[in-house]
Amino acid sequence: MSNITFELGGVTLNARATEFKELPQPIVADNITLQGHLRTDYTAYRRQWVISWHHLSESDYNALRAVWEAQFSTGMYQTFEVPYYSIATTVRVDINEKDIQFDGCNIMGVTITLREELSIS
Amino acid sequence: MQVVSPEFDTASKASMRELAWRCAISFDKTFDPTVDFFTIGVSSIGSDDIIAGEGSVLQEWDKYLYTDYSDRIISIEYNREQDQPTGSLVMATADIVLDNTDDLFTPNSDPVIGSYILPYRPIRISLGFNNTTIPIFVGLTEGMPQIDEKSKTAKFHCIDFIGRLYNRPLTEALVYVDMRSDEIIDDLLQNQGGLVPSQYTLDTGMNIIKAAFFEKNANLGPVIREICEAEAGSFFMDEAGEIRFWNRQYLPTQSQVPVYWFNKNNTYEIEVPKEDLIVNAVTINADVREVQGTQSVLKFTGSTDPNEWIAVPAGGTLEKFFDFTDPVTDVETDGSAFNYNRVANSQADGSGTNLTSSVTVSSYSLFTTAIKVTFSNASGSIAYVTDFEIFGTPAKITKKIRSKYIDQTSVDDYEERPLTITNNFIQSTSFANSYAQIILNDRAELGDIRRIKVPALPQLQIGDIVTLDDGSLSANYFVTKITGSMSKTDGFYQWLTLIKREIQTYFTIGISDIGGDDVIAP
Repeated sequence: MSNITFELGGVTLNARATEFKELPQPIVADNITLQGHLRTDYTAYRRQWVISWHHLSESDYNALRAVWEAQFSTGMYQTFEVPYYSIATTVRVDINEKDIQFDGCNIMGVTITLREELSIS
Repeated sequence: MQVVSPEFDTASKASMRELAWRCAISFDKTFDPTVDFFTIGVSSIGSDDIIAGEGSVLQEWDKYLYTDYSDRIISIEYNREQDQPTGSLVMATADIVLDNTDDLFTPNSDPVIGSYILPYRPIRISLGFNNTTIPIFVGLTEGMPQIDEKSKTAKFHCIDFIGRLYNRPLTEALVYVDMRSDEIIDDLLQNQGGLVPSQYTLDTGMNIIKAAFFEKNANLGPVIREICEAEAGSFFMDEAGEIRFWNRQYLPTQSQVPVYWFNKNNTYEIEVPKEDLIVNAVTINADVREVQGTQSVLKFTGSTDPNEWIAVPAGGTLEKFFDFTDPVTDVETDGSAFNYNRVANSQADGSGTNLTSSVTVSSYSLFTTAIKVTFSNASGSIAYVTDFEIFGTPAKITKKIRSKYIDQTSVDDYEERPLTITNNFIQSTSFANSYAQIILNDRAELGDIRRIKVPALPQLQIGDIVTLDDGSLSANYFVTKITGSMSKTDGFYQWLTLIKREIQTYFTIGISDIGGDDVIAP
């Protein structure tokens, strides 16, 4: 399986294509009429990416962790670029810490969620 | 119904709707009188000229220079409501929540607008679909914004310009004689409201008030409401900022074809309000006054009470207030002199030296229901005015109207729910009778009123007729209240208060048949 190369907060990383998912987040409000029909008002949608690694080297993990921490120390969203998909945007980074296991060389079960700053209308 | 394009109309009724919103505020209240509607070939791109909506009239409040804060909107709620049960006045409010992450709206924070975060800043709100918006609200922020540091938001409560005018006190006592409703409102708006005629459109009133009086410091809103109530008309500022006065025949002469049909397919909720809104016993009272010919309007014949003496000091003056029994439109003068009878003596009981020739009225101020008179005494001793009489034109009660109608069926069902209207500008018994019956027709039954929650149609307006089919009953109703809400989480919906109204076709000379169904115009 091929890898996807991306740059997050200036750090270049690779992820398996099957573990790199884009999840559009539509900004919608659903209401149900008395007859039961769905009515939807929408304003825009934001993109969201979920990227997982079965294992990640300690150095990559530390770099990723530094990017995650930087958004709080600088108060700035992080740049996110995926040349293959022509993605260049800014995102807020969430990192899943619960499932991290350290086997000495790798960090196991790392997942990051990237929420795009600006909506697409 | 606001005039909108077919595309807008279609988008507003679609099952999936892309919301659009705009909000512009003039914090520094910079006013540019040269602002005009954008004219292709005349206005320059990037100028302050504004894009005209369909049917728009350029208003003075269009000429503020506004800054667009649309991208900061978190939620908008607005309310437009006829006062009930007569619908004489319609006022609108809005609450808008804006993103304040960078403290832009925190007072004295931002270097550009921080010092202008103050009450009564002009604001315009428009809502719509697919990047097209229509006006929803034009008005002013009422107070300081409510800053929420936790959520980093700023909430502005806004009132329309009618709300701003509402509490403005009259600067003087006012008298109107034999004037139509619209003529009185026109004078009030110009001389008390500070508006110019281009800012409002007034129907020709059908109620000619023989004598209308307003005290100094009476609030403008209640004054206009009273005139509109007597007209059975309505006064309001529409969504685009144009002030309107509808006379009593405006709604009956509009198309009675419903502008929209609501049923369970396009309605989220249907409520039958509590019986509180039922009216099944209406009493209308009016004391009609008419201005009389010149006659004695005040007579003072001395008093044994020293507190009531008119004692003018030697070589000095005395200001004295007198109350009239009836309002007086004018007091008679003889050329430049005040025409009156008076007798003055050196003793309070009328004895002593006659000083009548030394005592004069040097000035007076008429306050309709009272008069302030300044007496001057040229003699060298105190002078007591023992007889004093003023002549003028009083407005006396010439007719007392007492009209009472009861819907006994409704009283049997819901107990008596009375409404009393006391309005001395109602001029005829036939009008009072018709008015009472119309209110009973509209309000005596619970089924006459509905509240429905629907996908918002921002083009809907107060006074529109809609059909509601709730599955068991299909009927036409007037929209009397619109409460709209738009947020990204809940979408764009409205609560509409609907009231049935019997449309009266009024008897019109030259049009109606003698013996036909038309009723005499109230």
